[in-house]
Amino acid sequence: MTPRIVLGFCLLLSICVVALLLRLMVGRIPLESGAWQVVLSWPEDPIRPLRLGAAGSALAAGWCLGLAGLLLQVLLRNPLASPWVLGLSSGAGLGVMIALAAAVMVGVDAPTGGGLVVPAGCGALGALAITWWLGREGGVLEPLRLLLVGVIVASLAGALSMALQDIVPHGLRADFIDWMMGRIPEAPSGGLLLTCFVLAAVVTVVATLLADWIDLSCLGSDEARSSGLNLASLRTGLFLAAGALTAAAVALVGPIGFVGLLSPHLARLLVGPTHRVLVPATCLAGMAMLLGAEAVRQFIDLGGGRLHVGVLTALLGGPFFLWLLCTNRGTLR
Amino acid sequence: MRPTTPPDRASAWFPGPTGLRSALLVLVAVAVSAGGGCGQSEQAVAPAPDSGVPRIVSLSPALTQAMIDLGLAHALVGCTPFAPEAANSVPVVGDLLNPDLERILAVDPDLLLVQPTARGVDPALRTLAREQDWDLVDWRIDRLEDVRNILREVPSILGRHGADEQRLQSAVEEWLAQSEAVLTPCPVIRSAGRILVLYGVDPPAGFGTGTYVDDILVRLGGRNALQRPGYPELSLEDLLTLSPDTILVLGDPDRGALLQTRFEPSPASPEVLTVEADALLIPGTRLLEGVRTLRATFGCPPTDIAENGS
Repeated sequence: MTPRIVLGFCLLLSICVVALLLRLMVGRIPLESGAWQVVLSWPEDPIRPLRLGAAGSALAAGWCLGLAGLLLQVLLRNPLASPWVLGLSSGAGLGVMIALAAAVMVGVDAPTGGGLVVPAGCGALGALAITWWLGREGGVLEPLRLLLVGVIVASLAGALSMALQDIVPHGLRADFIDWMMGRIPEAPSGGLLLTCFVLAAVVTVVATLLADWIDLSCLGSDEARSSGLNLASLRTGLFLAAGALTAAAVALVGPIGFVGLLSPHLARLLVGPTHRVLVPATCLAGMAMLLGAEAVRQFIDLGGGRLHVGVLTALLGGPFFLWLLCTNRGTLR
Repeated sequence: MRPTTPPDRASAWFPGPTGLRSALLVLVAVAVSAGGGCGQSEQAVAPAPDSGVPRIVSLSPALTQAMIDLGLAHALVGCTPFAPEAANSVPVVGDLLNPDLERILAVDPDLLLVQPTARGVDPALRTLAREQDWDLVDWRIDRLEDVRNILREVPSILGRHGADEQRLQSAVEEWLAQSEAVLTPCPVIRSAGRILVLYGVDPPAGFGTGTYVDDILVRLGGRNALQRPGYPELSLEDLLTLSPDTILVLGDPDRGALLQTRFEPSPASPEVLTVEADALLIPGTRLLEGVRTLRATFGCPPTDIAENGS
């Protein structure tokens, strides 16, 4: 390991630890005036489990999204690839809209919050299956075809969601928009949280073990094949792993953008392009980004409650991405 | 679910458990025929012109309910998709955000009732109303007093369009008298301490100051635990730090039960009450029904007019 890599890991780890401590310590108390005052203190029961739940959810989702982003950038050989290019976010959104509309039609209370986990997961997996089915050419996943199919699936799912919005009341539309902005649950489903962690851990280990093959696949199809790499199997593995990670993350926290796009670039900037170190570094970067955003948003309340985490990741991630682009840091080629 | 659009509106639009098939049929019907709403043709239900009855289009579920409660359901010639059940046969002519100008033109109202959104009344609607010589009345409904003021104005406005102003005046006065009765301070609510009223539990979202529910709570002698304006979204941690004495959840009992599981049972835990009062989610004439349910939930002593619902 070169000093640069060691330094990069230390930096990412430090950001994670600071973000974790900040998320666990920052809270707010209501004042007589109706305003809230932000306070830093170590939480006691019954607040502690809520903050641990939020921190755990952010860590798990950040891990999943960062890793999924990296795998997709490798698979599509496109630095703009992120978990949303395969239409998973829109598919999850469609799943949620179908659940809301169905509840309205049969006259039962519409699901909210945790009740949206299953429809979101089903929608994401449904979009994944369609993209997978149509993204193959001669039985092999083709990056360009996959990208195009993903874009079309996303557009179709988005359009269907919009159509369904017309048959639900305004209040439920607001709930849907709220869900689309992402939310880190304070009391997540234990099973879902565990699924995210286990899935992310398994994919991280496997991807690190296969890092040399992944490096080879980045050279191009002909070079990879001439080196004896089974490109079809690798692409299938990358696609399924990225899809499952994204579906799990969306089910847990909703569609949160920019984490999957930026984490691999941040990690590349710090530890370089070799996947043996890039895979774990990206996981740390994803965790640091989402946990950091979740901590920072505790300080920002524009009147309607704390800023949504998905809004903050976009507000911070967009300029950061432009900075990478404009300063030509070598990660966007 | 945010306030102003209770679930019963939607279920009323999709009667029965026919589910997806019915919805798809409705979608297809709407797509292929530019006219009709709630499965009906406007030609079939719109009262004939010059029949002495005002032709009212209401682009607000709350105002539609008010017209129905004032005995003017037959005067409605257009409403929103999520109108009360009694307006099921009234053509849909768009909603608050997207009024369908062509359909409104087709039903040719005398009077347009609008509850403006944050961006105000659609300028195209205003222009059309001016060109067609329709009376466009826009009312904001944020506070309890807004509801009362609107009702006070209704008889004279509708009287201009041929409605029986005297009868409406009597109906409004009766409603106002009932509202005074049901809003009598209740000692049980006063002693319930700081009360947090939630319209959502996952995520929690509550009625803050400057809302009609806050007004109702104050009139009943209660203290709103959420001393910030509007309808803010909260976190579970916020609920704990606000430490209300009572949490009132509007809607299904399951929602209250879900919230109850978040609190460790201890003497300091707030009491979580669920009020099955969708009427409280719409700032309109049905608020009285909601307040009655609220009083009953707290076990307030009956008020003569309030409890018999006359």
